[in-house]
Amino acid sequence: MSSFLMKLPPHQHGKYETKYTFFILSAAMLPAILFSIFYYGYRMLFAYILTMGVCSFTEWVYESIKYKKDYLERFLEFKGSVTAALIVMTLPPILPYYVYVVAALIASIIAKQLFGGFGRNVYNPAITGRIAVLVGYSSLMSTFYLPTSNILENGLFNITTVPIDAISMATTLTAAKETVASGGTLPILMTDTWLPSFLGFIPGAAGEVSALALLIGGALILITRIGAWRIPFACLTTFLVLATVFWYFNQGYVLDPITQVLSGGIILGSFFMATDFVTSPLYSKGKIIFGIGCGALAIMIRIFSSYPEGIGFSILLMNSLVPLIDRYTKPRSFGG
Amino acid sequence: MKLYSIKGGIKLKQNKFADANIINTLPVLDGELFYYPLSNSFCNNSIPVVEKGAVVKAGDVIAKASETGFSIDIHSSVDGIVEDVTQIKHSKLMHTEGIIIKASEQSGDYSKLAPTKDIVDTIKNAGILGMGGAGFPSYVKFFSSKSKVDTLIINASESEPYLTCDQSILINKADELIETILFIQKELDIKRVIVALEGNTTEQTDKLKQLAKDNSIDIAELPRKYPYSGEKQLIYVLLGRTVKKGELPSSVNVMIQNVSTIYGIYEAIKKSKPVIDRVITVSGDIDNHQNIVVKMGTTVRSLLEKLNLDPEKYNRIILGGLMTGTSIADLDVPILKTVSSILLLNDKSKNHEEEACARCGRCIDVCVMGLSPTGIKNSIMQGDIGQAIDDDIMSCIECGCCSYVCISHRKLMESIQYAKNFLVKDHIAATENDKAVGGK
Ligand code: SF4
Ligand code: SF4
Repeated sequence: MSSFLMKLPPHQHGKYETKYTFFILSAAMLPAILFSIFYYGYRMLFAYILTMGVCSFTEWVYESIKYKKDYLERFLEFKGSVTAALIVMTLPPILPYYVYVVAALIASIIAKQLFGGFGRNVYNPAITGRIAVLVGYSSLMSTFYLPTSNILENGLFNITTVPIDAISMATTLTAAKETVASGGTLPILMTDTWLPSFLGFIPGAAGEVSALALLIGGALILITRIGAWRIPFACLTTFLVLATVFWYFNQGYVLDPITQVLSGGIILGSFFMATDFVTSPLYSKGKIIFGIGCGALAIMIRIFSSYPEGIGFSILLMNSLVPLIDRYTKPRSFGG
Repeated sequence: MKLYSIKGGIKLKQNKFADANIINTLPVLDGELFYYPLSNSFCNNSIPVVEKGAVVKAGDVIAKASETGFSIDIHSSVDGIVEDVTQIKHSKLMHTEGIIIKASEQSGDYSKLAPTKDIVDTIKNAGILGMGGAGFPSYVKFFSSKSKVDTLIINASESEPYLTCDQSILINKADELIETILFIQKELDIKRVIVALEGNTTEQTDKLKQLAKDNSIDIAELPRKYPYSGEKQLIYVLLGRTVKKGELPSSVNVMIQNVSTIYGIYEAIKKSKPVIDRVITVSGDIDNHQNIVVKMGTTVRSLLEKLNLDPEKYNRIILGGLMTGTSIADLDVPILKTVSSILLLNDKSKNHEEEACARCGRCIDVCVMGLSPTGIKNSIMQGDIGQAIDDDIMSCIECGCCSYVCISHRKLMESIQYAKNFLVKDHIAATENDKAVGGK
């Protein structure tokens, strides 16, 4: 008799669960991940597996200690893997493997677990990990490659050594900075880079190169409505508007807005990193403010600082403002 | 008619299997026991007026309303003998004082209510409660609405899954409903009446719609979204009027009544019949879904037996809707006026463990009251009830949408409900105490 399930209402639950949400997020990143493997070869695949292993393992150890029970099931919950994938995607493609391990450890132990674990961390773990290695291994971090062949031509295991099949080359953003610094001027519109940048055949961080692949994933996030459209929308709009303004008044010294948005990590950042639930504001108004902040800081760092790319820093900066934003954007209750 | 839109709400799977065209009647067996609790969610402490061994007829008053607080008369729903006045089981209160009646042969008739001049008295004497589920005594609503209200809204939006009992009344009792509505309109001098339909209640109700048109009663068809039927939501959607925090609908000159309640009023006024039975939906993972008239006080066990349903085949039984109903472990609890359905379910549902909030914001997006369920729950967990009150915890209509969507399976509505019922009162008492002490 007492075998009936006693439960407080509501007696049903929607289909969305953390698991499901993280699964979709992972699926949304898949086009860009696949593109990077296709473009840079099987080394990338190893990098993903290695980083995911490290992240999942630390996560598992942490949860096992914290909750004092076997969390083997959680091993497969994609929580650590989203962070892991983002780390690999934002780093240059061909790195010694230990760099990934260091980034992954910093991301999951320092940025996430020391803050109290999933749901409590203030800073986006993937970006924290990336920035730590960016500072620690700065020379490795500024070496990018343009592959001269891909796995369709060579087979999965052919691009084994670097830089035989790839030429080392600066990214569009770095190249532009250097040109301007050495007294040169840039073409007003860099039309010839638009198509390769959109498709992804340019030197850059592994998962950031193909705007197309990222936009496909971004569309999936928006269609399944697991992520808030407000943050990417506000971020990209602000970024484009400011980029246009700066370009208009400094033609020849600042890249045109289309090139700006297609190169570097702005698309990846606004769709996949700024939207991280845990480290972004809770309320709609706050999300817009956060997006605007990320977009504005990103373009300003690109133009006014010595770093070629600013999306990571800008998101981290805005992360630290989240509690403040939340406090002042609380919704008003109906009739209250 | 023009509708105003509100934010929030969710789309639920309808699962409306029970045919609304037919209303069956549950027979009464000789010797069957009926249970009548003296307390209910809003109405407490009715005073028994019968003793063990007394012979009663259906419709006889067996407990009188007490003078204090909200309280109503309780009527026997069957002809029989008072078996006992003692502690009985209750689906929400666990145990409560109550009366047990053993049915004898049924005459099929009932003792009529004494005629009164005032509609409010009739409603009070008939023991009518808000039969949508909340159980707020209707006489209080009528009393506070007198000569104040300009609009009457009939809430016929049955947005919970499975339920079709209101629909069955709309289809089968259209004449009676309209007659009652016009009667109330005249009695209370109400300018405008709106019948709000939603979901399945818009289907097959052509007769009602035609009758409404003939009598210049407005019909509104709401979007299929849960819970547009919350009182404040309904008033805003239909009229664009906002009921301020802590106020009742009468503050914006509106009275809302549920369809089953209106039908109860019809029986009271036109047939002098107190509430001794009601239509409920029997549904869930069963084959013979139906709407059926059940005598008040019937136990779940005897209802299932009469319908040939084996409770052993199901892993949960819910009185009321899926979103707001009560799950029961004991089959001997009686069916009361506020129970709109019995759902027998057999599925893999379990009590999920709560996980850390992922801060996804979904609970905030769906809350029709514009609250931040996660923020309020966090305050409750930290013991900061003052903050929860500042964040308007008392405005929560306990619809359950927040818990339904939470990706971390947090028990948001459950905590809020608990805090509202227990912690908030204590907190207010404590702060007042502090003030009193500090003032000296
Ligand atoms: S907080 Fe209350 S009103 Fe808001 S969704 Fe949750 S249960 Fe409904
Ligand atoms: S729905 Fe659940 S996980 Fe998402 S913000 Fe609300 S409480 Fe947190």
